Amino acid sequence: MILVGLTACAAGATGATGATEGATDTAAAVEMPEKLVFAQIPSESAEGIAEDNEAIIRVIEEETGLEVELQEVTDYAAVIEALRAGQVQVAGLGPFSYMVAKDGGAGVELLGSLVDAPEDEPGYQSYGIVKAGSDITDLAGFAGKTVCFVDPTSTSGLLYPSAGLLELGIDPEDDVTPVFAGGHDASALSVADGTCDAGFAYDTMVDHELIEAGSLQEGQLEVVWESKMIAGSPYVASDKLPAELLEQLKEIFADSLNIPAMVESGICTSEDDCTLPEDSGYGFVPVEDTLYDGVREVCEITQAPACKV
Amino acid sequence: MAVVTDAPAPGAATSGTPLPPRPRTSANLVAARTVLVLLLGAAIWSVVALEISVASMVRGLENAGLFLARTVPLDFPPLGELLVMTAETLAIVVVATVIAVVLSLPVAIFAAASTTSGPVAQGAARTVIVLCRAVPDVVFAIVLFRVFGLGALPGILALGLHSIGMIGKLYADAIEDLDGGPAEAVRAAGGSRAQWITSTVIPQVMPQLIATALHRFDINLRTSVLLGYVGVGGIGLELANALRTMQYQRGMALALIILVLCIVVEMVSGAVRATLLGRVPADRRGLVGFMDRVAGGWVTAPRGGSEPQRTRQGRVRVAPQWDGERIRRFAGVTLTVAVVAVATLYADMDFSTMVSDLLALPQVLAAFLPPSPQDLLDTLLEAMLVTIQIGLAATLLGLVLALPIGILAARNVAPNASVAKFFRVVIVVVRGLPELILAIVFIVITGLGPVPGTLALAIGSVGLLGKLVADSLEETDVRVQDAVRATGATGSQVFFGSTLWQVGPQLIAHVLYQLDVNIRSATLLGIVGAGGIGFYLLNASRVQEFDVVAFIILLVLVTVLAVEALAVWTRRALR
Repeated sequence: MILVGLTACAAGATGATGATEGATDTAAAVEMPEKLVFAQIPSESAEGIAEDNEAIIRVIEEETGLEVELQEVTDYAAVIEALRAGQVQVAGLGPFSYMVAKDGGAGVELLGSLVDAPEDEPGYQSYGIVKAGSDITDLAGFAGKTVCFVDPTSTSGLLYPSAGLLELGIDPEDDVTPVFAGGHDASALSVADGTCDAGFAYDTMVDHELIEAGSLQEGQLEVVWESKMIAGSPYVASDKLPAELLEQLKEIFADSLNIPAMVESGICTSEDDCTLPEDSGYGFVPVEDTLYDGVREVCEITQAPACKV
Repeated sequence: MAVVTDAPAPGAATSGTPLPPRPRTSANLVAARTVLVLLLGAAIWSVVALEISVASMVRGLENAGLFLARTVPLDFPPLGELLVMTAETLAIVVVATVIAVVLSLPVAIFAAASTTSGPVAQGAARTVIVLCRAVPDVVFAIVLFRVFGLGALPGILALGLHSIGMIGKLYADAIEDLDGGPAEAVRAAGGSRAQWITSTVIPQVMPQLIATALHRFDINLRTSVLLGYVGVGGIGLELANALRTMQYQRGMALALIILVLCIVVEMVSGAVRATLLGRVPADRRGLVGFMDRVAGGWVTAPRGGSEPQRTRQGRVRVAPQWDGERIRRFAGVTLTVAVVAVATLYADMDFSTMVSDLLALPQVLAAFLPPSPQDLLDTLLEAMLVTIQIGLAATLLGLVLALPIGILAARNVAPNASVAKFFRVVIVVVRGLPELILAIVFIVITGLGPVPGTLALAIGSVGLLGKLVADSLEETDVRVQDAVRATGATGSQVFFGSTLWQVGPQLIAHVLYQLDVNIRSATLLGIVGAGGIGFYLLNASRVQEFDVVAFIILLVLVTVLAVEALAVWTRRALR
């Protein structure tokens, strides 16, 4: 239905003469936007987003000559809607929200995903966590407890954990008291301070990020479950952008947005000075849509409400 | 009203003497007018700075169309489920409002000049009221979730505490406006302070007490929707979850239900308020009227003059007799008590850990101290500025929309009665719209950021400002208009020459009040992604940076109090 709408816009835009106003915001707009709007869901501490993406934004600004504006958003749904409406051009999504955006016709193109080494397959795991010293020792022990999930559209914070619970015959809606903490950090911290008996968050959040940020001490949380490998979180661009700009963005993510390239181009002074999201040790590599078929399968298993695209 | 006498006043003007000079405008008045002009300038600048333009709205209409297409067919939850969440919402709001009333009454008694026990108590009570008003309910909710953990209790207390700010103030005003005679009589007979307050002040102020509580109930119902976004149960939570998982068919169905619920509650409470405050003549139609006629007027027993009523045994009655009015009152009170009791049971409050939670309060509060912006100072100040801009722009746009609507809703100005009636309905419907739902719709139309928040608040302002404009127009002194009309002025000349001119000071007071409200609401809209400081507040609380939360709360508090002080001072100067 939405696709029909978009193609209708495309058909309508061909009637526009030259570069007149009016046909700008439609799907087939072929002129350069004045600026790129970059959005990412807040998965980290309040000051995290701008800082993490600073390098990415600077590289895009230098290479395209366009101003990049960071748009704060509160959840995945807002980012996907903004992509669909053409109000956001570049975004950092999760694997699941990418699937929702792609299959739901929001009009997105994959740019790349973060890895720790250039030959790595982009991916990560979800951890089931409890407070150190808790009497819960495995995922089966989550039954009947207050469990922190991340967000109704989170891959490693809801979808894979739900699949894990379902495999043990635990209904993630009825057999536990679910709480949406709103972020991976919030989920882990809520487990640490006892708001939730157990919870889920992605691996590096528990292993490094919160400890480096000083929010958690080493050994405050215990990992009692690890999910299957989840395809890495992709960065996407809106397919409403002009084709040459879209190609250029893909090239930037493939060639310029990794630590060696960024040191060479002078974006950062040394390898240690380069900060990328997710504590990535290398940078971006291109990804294919098929990488996210695993998410589609998990959606089949869980039938989570958010899966209905 | 000077009385014209025959005797010439001393120094009366005989032909040729110069007129006395015009009284000079006071410095205060000049300052107040300057402030108003500056505020208007700031509001216009805000509209420009936030890039609110008709062109962008028109561009957004296409998105709106696409979005609306995705919301049909509406997906209503099963009736049983729907009733459960509606009941939960209503229970939370009922309990919260009752808590607010119970806490507000003593605070108001100490805050009112006529019943306070001394200047210290009065100052303390007034401070409590101002602080409760200044701290938005979502902020209370965030802090209380930290104290009490999950469940309905934090949400209920948050609504209740914030309500004290309004209820306490209105109760105190109502107490100060009372006729002091009965209280003096009881005091003269040797009644103690507690006795004269309970026997005279509270019964006298009862209609206003109930009316104010009902009014706040409407407001709390609308706010409880927003609290769903921070985890308070009921329809608001279901709506937040539906929208977060992009189930728009369900989300919009819930939004529609909330809208209908708000309008129904608004109308019911409006009717009850009008009856209570005696704006509706007690007619003798219907069942009561029929019984009354059958019983020869006993049901609405007439009050004898100064003769004391006597019982059958001939003793003087000390309690009112069980006539229709008392039965009605009794039934009303019984029903209220029953509703509150059911709501309290239903609201799913967990008191079991309450004591231990309260004992842990010092440690919890320690997390908030000392308030610090960490390294976000510039970002936060900028967000606060955006928040103020949203408030200013929303008030200006709201006023521009509310003036014509309010004017057409005033029965003495509108071209005819049916036009007035139509616009009154429009105002009631707009007042029933929860701002959150408006914000969500506008986010889709205009994109993320401050614009949808501004537009949502602007529409929200129309509900209140339109009503106030209409009411103040209806209260104008029609004799002035008649005089102007008698000189042969046209309808529009009468309106601009006398009616609008009379409403001026009142209108400015209302607009300043609305500005105060809008800036407070603007701090919250960031929670749904509509720009401003709310976003950082939500984020900081999510990642448990409570020193940042505390800093933001202080920032909001200082801003709100400054705006309120400015509004109060300007109102005084213009009076």
